[in-house]
Amino acid sequence: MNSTIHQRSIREMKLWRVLLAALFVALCLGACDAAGALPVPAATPTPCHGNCPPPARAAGAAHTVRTSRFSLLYFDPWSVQQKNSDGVTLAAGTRFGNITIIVNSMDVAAGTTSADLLAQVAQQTLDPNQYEGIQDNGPIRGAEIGYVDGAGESYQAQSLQANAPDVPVYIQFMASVRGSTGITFVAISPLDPNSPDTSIVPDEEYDHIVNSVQWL
Amino acid sequence: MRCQSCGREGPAGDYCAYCGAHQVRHTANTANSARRAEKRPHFFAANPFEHLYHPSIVSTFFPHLSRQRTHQMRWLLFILALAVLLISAGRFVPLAILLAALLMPVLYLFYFFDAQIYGNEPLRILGATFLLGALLGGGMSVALYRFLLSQYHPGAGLNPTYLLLTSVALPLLAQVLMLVGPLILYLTRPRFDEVLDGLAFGAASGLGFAATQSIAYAWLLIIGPFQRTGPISTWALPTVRIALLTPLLDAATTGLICAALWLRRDPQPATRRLGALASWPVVLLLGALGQIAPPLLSSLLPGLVMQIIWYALTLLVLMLLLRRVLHIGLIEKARPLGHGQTLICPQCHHEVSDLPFCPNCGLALLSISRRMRRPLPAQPAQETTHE
Repeated sequence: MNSTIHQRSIREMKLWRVLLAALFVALCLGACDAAGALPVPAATPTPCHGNCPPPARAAGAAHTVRTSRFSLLYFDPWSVQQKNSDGVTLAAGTRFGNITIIVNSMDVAAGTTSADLLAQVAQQTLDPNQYEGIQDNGPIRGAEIGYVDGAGESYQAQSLQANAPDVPVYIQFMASVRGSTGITFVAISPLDPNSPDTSIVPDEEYDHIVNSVQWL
Repeated sequence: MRCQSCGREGPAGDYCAYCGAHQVRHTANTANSARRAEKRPHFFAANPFEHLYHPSIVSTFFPHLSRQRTHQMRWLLFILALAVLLISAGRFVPLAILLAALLMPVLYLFYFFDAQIYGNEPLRILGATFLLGALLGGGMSVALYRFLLSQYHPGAGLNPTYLLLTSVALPLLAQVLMLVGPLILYLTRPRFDEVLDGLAFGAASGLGFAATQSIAYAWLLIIGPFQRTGPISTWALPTVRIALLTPLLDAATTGLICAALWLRRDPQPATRRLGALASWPVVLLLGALGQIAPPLLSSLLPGLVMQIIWYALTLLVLMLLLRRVLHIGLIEKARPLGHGQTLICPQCHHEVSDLPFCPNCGLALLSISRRMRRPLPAQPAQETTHE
């Protein structure tokens, strides 16, 4: 009788241990999941307060493009599509299509803020005849161009063409103003900026390019 | 009754059973009246209850259907298109695109079986039309998918190379591929020699092609979220294009070319007055223009609503031209069914002899489906009563 009770208590203890271990694992997984579900955006590094040097990159050939108000260092696989005295259009291919980045500069009136410039460039770019179902995905925190604080906004849309593949399009805008000069950054990509392609991680590339801008 | 147009004696009725001329409209003895009676533009040869230029999808692309079946098909098309539209309005994008792409091919498959267009070779005919069209459409779209993406630079403005590629080169290549299956049948199956055979084979190939092409081009949307956000029009308008406009446009261009091709082949009777519209160079040009115009205009004057307008306008023009070619073909190439007995006209339900036209409603008997062409059972000469 006693041995039966003893065996039962041992079995219950084992069961409790297993349950505790399972609870511990569940708590750990829950904690990881909560951390993933509530991401905290990392502060954008701003190591200098003047004309900062462009960030270095180990791989890929470096190229410099210069306009009247800024210069830009970019690496392969990016290439210049168009260039004029105000700005430059860069492109890079991915498995899902090309990413286009347009960096433009202009003189701005006194009192123009980054947010004003951002609204202006977003209005010009988001042509409802070109993109369908435009959706605002919210502000880009820590937006800056060439280490000058600015404003940013992220959008999502569809490019539904008549006789070509339908492509989801992710559009990111950033704008910064320094003195009487404004610089805008527009990235149009078929890739979700958070979903890396085998060759390109859009968000990282965008960060790299905006940090490579040197105000002149 | 003697026909005032061809002069032959035929059964009494509103139409000549030999040439199809409308006898009632032939009262005034003028050359113009005689020409109008022969051409009978108010009475489409495959459905005399409609005007030649009545823009009806069903009687144009499904001309073998009887009057009753035409009504049923019209309702079926309306209900299914509405269902697809409602699904797309609910933003269930992958489901809406798949159903939209399959809508017209499935309906046409019903039509193939209902009208027994394939004769006694269902597998070969369906394989050379729907299946080959679908394979070539899917194959072309998948093979060129990455290349097209690599040429597209979103936000970089209108690129002439990309415009020529997507609006001229690809539509022309697509048209050539859509003709492959029907051409195989043209060369290997001479017994399918009627103008409506050409239309059916061409349309089926075009519909198969359009279905797989639409699915391939919308691939990133199909594998995306099951329910999307955004305005209803963003999803409903492209669905209308995928469900109705693109497949019918492909069916119209390929059907038009094939109808003209089959008209020239039909040996009995000799070609009389088919006109320039049914000639090879003209239909090829019309088919090419029909393929090029909508994507080109949609690129030059973009927007979802404009896209629908360009596709619908082109489809309307092609459909009217197709009806004209079918009408001319059915009248000029009219002939009896060949069994020499009587049958029931599926349009007016009168008993008619095996002559080229129904004298009561003017239907060209070659537009009757193969299933309905069988003669009425012979009446016994003397009835015997058993008590």
